[in-house]
Amino acid sequence: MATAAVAVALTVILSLSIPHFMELRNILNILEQLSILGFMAIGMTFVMAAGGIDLSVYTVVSAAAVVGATVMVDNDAPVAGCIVMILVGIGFGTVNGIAIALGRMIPFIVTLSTMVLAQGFAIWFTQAQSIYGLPEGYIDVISGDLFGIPVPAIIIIVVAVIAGVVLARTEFGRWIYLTGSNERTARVSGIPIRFTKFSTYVFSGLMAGITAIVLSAMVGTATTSMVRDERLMDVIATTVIGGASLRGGSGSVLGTMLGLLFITVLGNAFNLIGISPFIAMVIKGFVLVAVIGLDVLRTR
Amino acid sequence: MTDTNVDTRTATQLRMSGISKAFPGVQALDDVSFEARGGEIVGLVGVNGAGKSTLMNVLGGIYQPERGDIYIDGRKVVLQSPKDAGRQGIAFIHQELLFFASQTVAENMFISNLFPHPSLPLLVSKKAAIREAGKYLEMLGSTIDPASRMEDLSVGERQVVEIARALAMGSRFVILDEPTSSLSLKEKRILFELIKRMKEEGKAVIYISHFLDEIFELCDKYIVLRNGRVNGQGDVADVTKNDIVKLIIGKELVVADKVYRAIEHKPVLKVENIRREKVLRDVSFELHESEILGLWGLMGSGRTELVRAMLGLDRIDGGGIFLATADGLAEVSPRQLLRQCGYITENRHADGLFLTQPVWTNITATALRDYASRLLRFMDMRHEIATAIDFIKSMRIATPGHATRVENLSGGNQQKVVFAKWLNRKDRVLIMDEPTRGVDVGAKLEIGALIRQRAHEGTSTLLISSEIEEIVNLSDRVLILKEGRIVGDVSGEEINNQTLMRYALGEETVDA
Repeated sequence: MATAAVAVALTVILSLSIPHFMELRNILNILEQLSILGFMAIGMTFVMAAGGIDLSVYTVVSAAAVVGATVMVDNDAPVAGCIVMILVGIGFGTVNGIAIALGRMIPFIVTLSTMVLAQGFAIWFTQAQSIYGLPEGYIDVISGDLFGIPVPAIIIIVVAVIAGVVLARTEFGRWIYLTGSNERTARVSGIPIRFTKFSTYVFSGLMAGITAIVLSAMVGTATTSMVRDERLMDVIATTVIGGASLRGGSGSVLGTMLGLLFITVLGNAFNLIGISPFIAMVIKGFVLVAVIGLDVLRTR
Repeated sequence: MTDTNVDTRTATQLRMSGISKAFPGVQALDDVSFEARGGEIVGLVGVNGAGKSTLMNVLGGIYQPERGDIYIDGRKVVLQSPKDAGRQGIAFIHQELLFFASQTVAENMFISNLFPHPSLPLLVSKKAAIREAGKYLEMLGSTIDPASRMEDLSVGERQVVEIARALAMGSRFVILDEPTSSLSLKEKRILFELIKRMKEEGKAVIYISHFLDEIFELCDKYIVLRNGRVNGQGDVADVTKNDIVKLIIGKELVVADKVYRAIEHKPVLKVENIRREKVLRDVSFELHESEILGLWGLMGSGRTELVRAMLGLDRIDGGGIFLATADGLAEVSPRQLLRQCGYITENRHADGLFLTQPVWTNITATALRDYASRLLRFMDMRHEIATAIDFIKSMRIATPGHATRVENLSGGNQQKVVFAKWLNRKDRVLIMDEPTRGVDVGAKLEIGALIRQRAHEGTSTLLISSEIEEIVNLSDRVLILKEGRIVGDVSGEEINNQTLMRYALGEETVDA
C-alpha cells in the first residue's frame, strides 16, 4: 500500500505541474485508457495474489476480439458476438488453469506458451486481416456515454467494485491469499488450492474477454494485435505498484486501481510533455524494475 | 591409487587430537580424540546430536575446529575446505548424496579432474572418462554402465558410484555417513562387500551408524560419542551390544514427572498394515480416545514418513486407515483423514504457517467455513478477529497485535500460532510432528501443558518427536519405530529413555 500512496502523490504532483492535465478532455481520455488496462490488471491481481502470473492475457484479448467480431459482423448479432468474446477469453483461461493447477506446470512458461498460441490463433483465424464494419449499435452503446460518463469508465468501476469485494471479503478471496502466501500450508489446512489457482486463470481469461468487448467498440475494429506488447508490462507494473508481490499472497483491487492511475498518468504526462514514446518505454521499464526492487526490499 | 607395494596397513594413519567445536548454544564437540588406521573399519556411534556428523565434517574440511589438530601419517595437516581434505586422501560420502543428476556416471566420478581431450585443446574426453570410470567400477565388481545418467540409477547404485569415485581419487580414508538408511537389503549386502574390500586394500573406513547390528557385523573398532565427548572406544570383539547401548545412552534415567492416566480402550483412529516401499513396513496401531500416543525412533526410522503417508501427502503402497464414527470404525482415505485431523507439521515455515499473512488469518485458516455466510460466503471478519484475540490471550502469544504478519513473531510464538490454527478447528485427533522444534524453553513448557490439557479434555494426540524427554514427559503410551517398523509398544511407568533407546537401537534382549 505504501507504493500505492506514492502513486497517488505522484499523480497529484504531475497533474499540478503539467498544463492541460486537469482539463476535462484529458481526464476522460485518461479514464478510457485506464479501463482497457484496468480489466487486465484486475485479472492479474487475482492471479498474482494466488502466486501465479498470466503473460497471455494481452494476446488473448486479440484472439477473443477477432472471433467475437467475426460472429458479430457475419450475423449482425452484437450480443452473441460479445458472448463469444467472453467465452474465448474464458477458454484460454481454462487452458492456463488446467495446465497450471492440475498439470502443475510453471505459470510463467504455460502462459508464455498460451501468449504465443493466442497470437497465432488470431492471425490464423483472420488470415491477418483486420475486421471492420462492427455493428453501429454495439459501437455506440459500449463506447458511448451514459449520463455524461463514458460507458467503459462505468464498466471498469462496476467490475472493480465486485472484484474488490470478492477478493477482500469472501472465503474465495481468502483462499486466494492463503494459497498465494504458502501453497503447502494451504493444502495441509484444507484449502482447495487447485480449484483456487484454476479459478484465478479463468477469471483472468474472463477479464480478457471483457477487455475485448470494450476495446473493439472503442477502436471500431478487431485486429490481431489490438494490445501492444508493452501493455503487458504496464499490466504487471500496475499490479505490483498496487501492492501485489511476484511471490503471491498480496495485492488488492483498490491498490491495483491506484497503480493503474499512476501508470496511466505517467504515460499521459509523457505524451503531454512531448517525450518520445520510445524514451517513455525506457523510463517505464526503469520504473517497473524500481518497483519490483521495492517489492523485494519490502518482503525481505 | 595407493601404491600397493607399501604395507599400507601400518603406514596409513589418521589421528584427530583434542578437537573442540562450538555452535551458538551448544558445544558440539568437546576435546574429542580419534584414530583410524589403514585396513581397519571404525564404527562411529551415538544418537542424533551426539557429535558424529560434526566430527566428520571437521575431518571433511567442512567445519574448522576451534581447538585440536589433525595428523595424517604423523604429519600435522590443516583442512580448510573439502578440497584440502580430498588432497589429503579423505573422501566423505554423505548420507544425502550430492551429484549432478543429468550427467553421466563417468562425468560425476571425474567432475573435479576431467580428462583432457587427446587432440583438441580445452575440450574434455568423454571416452577417457568412461573408460577410467569403468575400470574402477569393475574393480568394485559392479555392473553399472559408466555412460548411464546418475538420475537413472537407484540410490544404492549411486552410493557405489560415490565409492568408485573415492577410489579413483586415490582416497585412503573413506567416511560413510549412515550409508544404509535408504538402501534395500540386497543393496546393503553389496555395500558391505565393497566396504570389506576397501578394508582389504588397506584403506581406513570410518562408518557412521546408529544401528548396532551393522557395527557388529562390519567394524573392527568402535568409538561412542555422547553429548560431544568420547564416551568409550575399543575393539568391537571385546564388547557386547549391551555395553555399547550403555555407552550411547549414558547412565541417567529420564522418567516423566507425572501421574499416569488410565486410558480407556476406545479406539478413535486405527491404522492397519501401512506399507511404503523401503520406508514403511506393515505399520499397525490404534490411537485411543483422550490418549497421547508418542511415536518415537531415531532419525530415518520412518516417524515423519508414517504420518505423511497416512495423510496422503506421500505415496502409500498399501494398508488401511479407520476413523471412529457413531457406528464404529469406518475406513477413510488418507485425504479424508487430512481433512478431519489437525496436523501440526514438522517445519512450520514450510507447511505450517502463512508467513506473509497476519496472525488472525493464520488462526482461522483451517476453519474458514465457520466464519463464512451461507449464501455468498462473505467472511465475518469481526468474528474471525475476535477468535484470534481469544487465542492470543489464552495462549499468551506475544505479538504486537492480531494484524501483525506472522513472520515478525519469534519462533515460539509462531509455533503457538500453528497450534491455535489447529485447536480452532476442534478436531478429535491431532497429529503433531516435532511440536516444539526450535522454540525456547518457556514456550516449550507452555506448549507441553497445552497438549496435556487438550488430551484431558478428550482430544486424541499422535505425538512425534525426536526429543526423548518430550516423548517421555507427555506420552501415555509410546510406539518405537525402527527401520519403518514398530518394534516396541510401552506404556505407563515403562516409558523412560533407557527402554526406548534399547528398542530403537535394536538391542533385542531388553531387560525392562
